[in-house]
This record gives sequence, C-alpha cells and structure tokens, in this order.
Amino acid sequence: GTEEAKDQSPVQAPEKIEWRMTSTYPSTLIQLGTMGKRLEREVNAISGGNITLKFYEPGVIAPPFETFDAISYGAIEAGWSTPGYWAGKDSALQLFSAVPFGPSAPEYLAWIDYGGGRELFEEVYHKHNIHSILCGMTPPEASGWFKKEIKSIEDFKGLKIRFFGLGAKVMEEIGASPQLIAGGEIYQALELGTIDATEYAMPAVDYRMGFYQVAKHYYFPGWHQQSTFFELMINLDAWNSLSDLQKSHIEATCSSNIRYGISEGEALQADAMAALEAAGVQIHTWSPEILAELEAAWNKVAARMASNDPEFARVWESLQTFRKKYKAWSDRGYLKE
Amino acid sequence: MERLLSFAAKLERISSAIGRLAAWAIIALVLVIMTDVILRRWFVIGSTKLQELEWHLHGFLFLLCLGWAYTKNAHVRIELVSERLSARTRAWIELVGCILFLLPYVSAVLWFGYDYVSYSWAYNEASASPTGLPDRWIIKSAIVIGFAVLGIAAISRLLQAVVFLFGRPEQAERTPFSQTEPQTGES
Amino acid sequence: MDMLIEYLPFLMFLVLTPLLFSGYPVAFVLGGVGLAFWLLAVALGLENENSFFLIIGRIFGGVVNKQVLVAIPMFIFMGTMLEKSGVARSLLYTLQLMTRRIPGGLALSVTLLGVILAATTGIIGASVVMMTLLALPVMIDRGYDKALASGTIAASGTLGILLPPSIMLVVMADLLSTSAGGLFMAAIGPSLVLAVLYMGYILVRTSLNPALAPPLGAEAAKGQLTVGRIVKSFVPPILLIVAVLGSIFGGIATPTEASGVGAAGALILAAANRKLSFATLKNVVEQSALTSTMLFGLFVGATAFSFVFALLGGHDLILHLMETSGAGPWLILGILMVTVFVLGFFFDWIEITLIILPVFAPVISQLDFGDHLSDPSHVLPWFAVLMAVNLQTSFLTPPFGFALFYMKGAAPASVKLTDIYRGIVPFVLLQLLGLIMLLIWPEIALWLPAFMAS
Ligand code: NA
Ligand code: NA
Repeated sequence: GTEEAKDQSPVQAPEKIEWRMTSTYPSTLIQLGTMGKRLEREVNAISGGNITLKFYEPGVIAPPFETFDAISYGAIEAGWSTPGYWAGKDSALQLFSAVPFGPSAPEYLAWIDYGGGRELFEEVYHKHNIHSILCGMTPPEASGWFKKEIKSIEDFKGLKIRFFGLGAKVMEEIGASPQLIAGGEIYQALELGTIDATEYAMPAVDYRMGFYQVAKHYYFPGWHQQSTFFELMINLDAWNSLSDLQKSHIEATCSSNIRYGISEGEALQADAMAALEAAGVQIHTWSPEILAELEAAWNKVAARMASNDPEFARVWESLQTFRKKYKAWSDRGYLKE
Repeated sequence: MERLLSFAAKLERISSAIGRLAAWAIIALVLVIMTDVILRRWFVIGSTKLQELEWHLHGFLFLLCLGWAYTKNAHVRIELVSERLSARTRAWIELVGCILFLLPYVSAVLWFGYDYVSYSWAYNEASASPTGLPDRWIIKSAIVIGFAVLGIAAISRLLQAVVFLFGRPEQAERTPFSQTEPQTGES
Repeated sequence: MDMLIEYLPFLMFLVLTPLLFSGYPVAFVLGGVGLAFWLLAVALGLENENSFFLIIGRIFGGVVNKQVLVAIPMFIFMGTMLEKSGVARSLLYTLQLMTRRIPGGLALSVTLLGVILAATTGIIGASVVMMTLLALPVMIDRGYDKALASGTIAASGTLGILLPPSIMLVVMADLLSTSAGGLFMAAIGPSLVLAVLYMGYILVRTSLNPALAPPLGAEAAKGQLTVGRIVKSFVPPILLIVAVLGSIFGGIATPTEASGVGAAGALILAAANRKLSFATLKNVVEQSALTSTMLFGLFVGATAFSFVFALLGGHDLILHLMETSGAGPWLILGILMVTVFVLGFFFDWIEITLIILPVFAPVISQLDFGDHLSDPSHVLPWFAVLMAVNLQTSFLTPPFGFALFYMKGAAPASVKLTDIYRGIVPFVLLQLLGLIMLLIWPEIALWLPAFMAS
C-alpha cells in the first residue's frame, strides 16, 4: 500500500500481518468478549496498522471448544480465549486461568512474571505448538445463584448445581451434584427447579442474564474464581515468524489489556450489585466456617489431581511455593479491613 | 461387470450392517436419559458423565448411519428437475455427484480427520469439564469411521451406476437405477 | 481478478443453486461445493492449505458435541413410535370425527397440535418431522390438498423455534447480552398472532374451496363418536404430553431431557397397546435412525459451505453491501429486515444471527423511533423479536428452507418437494403480514414483558 511507500524510516518495515483471531466469547459479552475486541483495535493502532488480528465471533469459523486444535494445527493463526477452557487437552492449563481459593490479580500476576509461572505456561503450550500470551484479566466472580439459602456445608449435600471447571470437583467432593446444563437452558432449569443453583460470572454479567428473576440468593465471594486470566493464543510457527518489533507490539497490547480488564472490571460491579439489590435479591457472604470447609475440600481435590498428573503437579507446586513465600509479605504489607 | 456388481453389493452390505447396528444407539439414548433424570430427581447422584454420554450416543448414531442412509436413499434431494429426467440421466448425475461432490468431501474429512483423532489420542484428551468423560478419541474416531463408511456406500453406488450405464440390460436391471420411481427411505 | 476474488462468496451461491436442483443429495452438494471453493481459494493463494482441518472441528464441536441436539433423535423416535403403534392414527381419526362439520377441521387441529408441540421443544427439526410423521399421511388419506396439508404442517411446526422455550431466542439473547427470560416473554404475543393468522387463513381458504379439505368419506364417517372412542384415543397422547410438559414444568427434566421422557413414554404406550413386537421396535429404531441421519447429514454438509463462505469473507461482503451510513432509523431497520429475509433463502438462522447481530446490535440500540415505542430501552427486545419472526420465516422460504427439507425427508413418497414449495407460499405471505403487524404495533411483543414487570 501507499502508507508503506510513504514510510521514511531507515529500518525496513516488517511484513504486514493479517491474522484471523477466533473468539470463544461473543464480542458483545461484557469483559470476556469486549476485551478481545479491544485487543483487535489496540494492536492495530499500536503497530501503526502493521498487525491485524481480525476478531471472529465464536462459531463463525471455529466452534468455541475447537479453537485449541485449530491453532495448534495452523488452520487459523490466533484465538481469544481463557486457558481454563483447555483442561481436557492439558489438565495443568486450568491453573493459569483461575484457581479455587487462588490468588487475586496482583499476586497472580506476580507469580506469572516473577515466580516462574510464565515459563511453565509457555512450556506447556509449546508442547502443543501454540504460543499463548496472557492478555486480559477480570476481577472475582460471584459465587453463584441459589434458590434456597445455604446455612451450613450440609446444605450442599444433594444440591443440584450447574458448575463448570475445577470448582465442580469441589462440589462433588462435598456431596453436591454438579450438572452440565447447556448455556441456553440454565435460566429455565433454575426457574423450574431442575437445578437448585448455578455458578455463572460476575455481577455485571449475571445481571444481564436475568438470573435474579428466578433465584433470590446471591452468594459472595466467588471462592472458585478470585481472578481470571484471558489469553491470546497464537500458532507457534506463526509466532516464530514475527519480527521482534511485532512481538513487542503484541506483548505491549496484551499488558495494557490486562490493566484495562482489571480497572474496568473493578469499576463495573458496584452499579450491577445496587441494581440487583433494588430488584429484591438477597446478597449473602459465605461464613468463614463454610469457606474453610470448601477450602479443605479443594485441597483434597488438588492433591488428588496432582498425584494423577505430573504436569499438573509441577505447576501446582510452583504456584504453592510462590504463595507460601508471598504470604510473609501480603500478611503484613496490606491494611486489614 | 458381474464382479463389479457383486463387489458393490458386498460394500453396500458392510455399510448397511454398520448403520443398522448403530441405529440401536437410539434405544441406549432413551435409557441413558431416563437413568439420568431418575437418578438426579430421586437419588441425587452426580450425572455429568451421563449427560456427556447422551451426546456421545447421538454422535455415534448419525455418524455411523451416514453411509447406510445414502444407499437407502434417505438423504434429502431436490427432485423438481430430476423427476422429469430419464433413468439414464439420473444414473449419470449419481455417478458425477459421487465423483465431484461426495467422494472428495469424504476424502477431505478422512485426510484431516486422521490428524484430528491422532492428536486426541496422543494427548489422551478428556472432557473439558473435570467431572466429565475421559477418552475423547473414541467419539472423535466416530467421525472418521462414519465418513469411511459413507465412502464405502458411495463407491458401492458409483459402481452400480457404472453397471447400469455400461453393463448388459439384465445386469442393469439388478441395480437400484432400474426402478422407475426413485427409492424412498421407507423399508 | 481482484473483483472476482472479492465476489467469490457470491459466486458460491451462483454455483450452488443450479447444482441443488440436480437431484443429488443436498447435504453432499453443499459439502462438495464448499470443498471445491476452498481448493480454488488455496490455488489462488487466498487460503492456507491447513484451514479445511477446521471442518472436522465444526462437525465435532458444532453438531456432535451439542447437548441440545440430542432432542432431535428423541422426538423423531417418539413420533415414529406413535405412528407405528397406531396411537397417532387413532387420535387423528377421532379428531376428524369430532371436527367433521368444521371446514378444514383437521388442518385446524393440526395447527393446534403444532402450537402445543412448539411449547415443548425449541428445536424446529424435531417438531416438523414429528408432525409430518403423525399428521401428513392422515391428511393425505383424507384427500386434503397436498400443498395445503404440507404448508400447514411446515408453518405450525416451525412455530417451535419462536414460541418459548426456544434455542434461537437463547442464542440471540446471548449475542445481544440481554436476558433470555425477557425475550421469551416478548416472543409469546407474536407466536400467538401467527398461529391465529394460520388458522384464519385455513378457515377462509377451506370455506371458499371445500375441495381442498374434503369431509370424511362415507365409509369412515360412519364411525361412531362414542365416549369410549374419545377416551381411548385421547388418553394415551394426553398422558404423553403431560409426561413431557410435566417433566419440564415440574423441574424434573430440562427440555432436552424431556424429549427422552417423551421417547420412553411412546415406548410404554406402544407396549400397553400390545403393538410392541421386536419387529415393530426394529422398524421404528431403523426408521428414526434414518430420519435423524438425514437431518444431521444436512448439518454436516451445510457446515462446510458456510465455513468456506465465512473464510472467503462472505460476512464482510454482506455487511459492506448493507452499509447504511446517514440513513434514518426506519430505513436502517427496513434494510436490515429485508437483508435477513433474503439471507433466509439460503442460510439457516444461526448463520444469519452470527453475521448480523454482533455488528448491528450496538447500532440498533441507539436508534430513535420517537413515540413509536413507549420507552427507548424497548428498541432492543422489539428488534430481537422482529429478527426472530424473520428468521422463523427463513426456515420456510424455498429453495433452501430447512423445515421444507425436514418435511420432505419424513413425508410419504407421494408428496413431492414441488407440493411443499407450492404449499408454503401462502404461509410465507402470512409470516410477512405478521412481521408488518409487529412493525406497526410493537405492543404485540412488548405488552407481556411490561405487564409481567408491573
Ligand atoms: Na418452542
Ligand atoms: Na430459507
């Protein structure tokens, strides 16, 4: 194009990149989708039009759960997703997305940047011919919607709850019955009592889903997901073909996307909670006893998973080691409320 | 021609036998759904695995029946024009359709599907849900097997078209193309 | 050459349309044309040689690994079993006796049955196939005009996608980031309006021309309408409907699982009727498997076509062609509606929603329709329901109407696709009438949600 001709810089401009980026979330979905759209916009701006990551809605070229294979094989170059989606491919990847009773954003980022997290992350992904960059982050989720109040850990026994991910294992451990309900059928299943509860997302998203119309008890904190990473997945060969400048453009955009995800996420929830309260939702906080029981159950689950899968064990070990050390700082460095 | 005809019949028997067997997955599906519903309602037993088994069975059912459905002529056709054509022209359309559309599509699915299943096998892929079913390669293999069976059925039909078009009249009569009315899916 | 590349996606349609009429199975023509254009794109250097790998992922992730699609084989099994065990025939015969004095009485009962089924399932394929199996042979036996019979069944069977529960509304709510519950509420009014339009049309048409819906033959009409007969023919299917609806509304099963409850119920009814021999069971199993395979075969072929269409930039091309900068709100809405209707000739609803909604939802919610809507926040739900009715219509528009294919696959051989195409035209016009009514009177959709909120 004409723009390249006008470019007076002595360094030869790297070859233009126009990649498809398939998303596992629709672009309209608060944070989960909008961060992907922001990435598309910003990477193009920051690279002066040199890098295009064209956002594709889920299903248009790749069904959401097929993103991993498609990028690994090189059918498409890039994807917008979260590592937790790929538990079935490599169980360790779940630990780079959100961990029950896991770190909140600053600690999680510290482990990734300075605790060996990134090296492990790249190692796992490179095995699958994918280079993934952590590229977005969201604040804690809510713990979920319950039709009846939960007064003790016993109340979980026999509870039919729609739950996805590692938290579902914890639910199984304490005698609840985690259900796989298709996304579109959750609302109705909850309304009619086919399930008693559902975990979903953060208040700003949950409000739009309308769950408050069919379940009145909304629980916090979301012990299963204190902070969540999102990622830009890139086919490894495609990544290696980039110039250093292009790589820095992508990495810089992802860094800014993480910062933006946290600030936007933190800012959005209060209004949604106020609206939910106005709609008659009872907002509860888990008692310390219940949280302790849930955490004990999670520790059992994690130990079992680590003993079954050496890769999972290695990442789990690294995260635990970092967190133990970090505790000396976090216990003293921050004001207690 | 005689050998082509008996070879075609053999291929059709293979694809039909696989389809007829896979059809019973529908009964298994009814049983699994009822078990899941009853267990959840009255015994409260975790059923993620059963719920995943449901779509596994749905997948086995239609994938493994693709070939049988082709030779039973159960796939939808727009017959507005073709019903006015002669049996010979229709046989030509079937022949060309197999060569230009069906067999290339089947080949492409087998070509890429082999890698798709190998990957799942190599990494011992499991459900994305930690409480779900292991061994994803089994259901993924059904895509490759189903399309292979569809390919077998297509070759069978193609050979029958060749016999009908180029064989002796008494041989042509033993192919499905000799019927004046197109076959229907009714058994 | 650049021009050719840009319009390659449209060329796909140009090539596809005549080939569909070759009489070769639609599923395989779609797959073959998709593959051919992909190869062409690779040859032209537009596409990398790995991208068709995704077709396996689309078959697996888009068709196999889809919990809600489980309902399709189950409802087909239920319909086939009811037909073979004589339960359906007995019900419809009694219905004919009961309605023998009303013009088009059987068609009206079938429409009602369609509305009831629509409330149990959100998947169009399932209810169209089931109604075709149950009612079409009876209507034809009775001497109904094939076009009228098939139009009635296709249209009322397709109502299932609009009347809640509806997978389509759920997907739309997801893409519009709005609540599915709210959309469900807004879709009830328009669904009922459409049902009334169908019935009004059938009543008028058969009154004017009774030959379209002849009364029962002298022999059959002799049947006595005894209480015994009514009880015997009504109780089993009512039990079944109660089991399906009851398991959903009683919170025992999701709508998907309820299809399995229905299938099990049909098995039990056949056994109770002493019609469940091994031969019958085998026959029903094989017949249902073939019908399901016909449906999913279409999915498997169509996914290749729409995949390559998207790869070649078809979506961008459509959006580019309908760019409406500077147009007023009514013009934008009008162009959108016409585009969706035209796309409906070729695509199924999921493709269209994925092309249109994410791009236009933000535009639409900003449009100002003045006093036409009582509250500016109503624009989005109103637009969603307009889209939904339009998309429902796309199932019915020839040549590429999925409802019509489903129907052809399950219909007796004597029913030609021509009959079906001919029969659907008046119903498509009724759909358009419904759409215009909804444009003029948004309250049809918005009244119920407003009432429930107050
Ligand atoms: Na419905
Ligand atoms: Na159509």
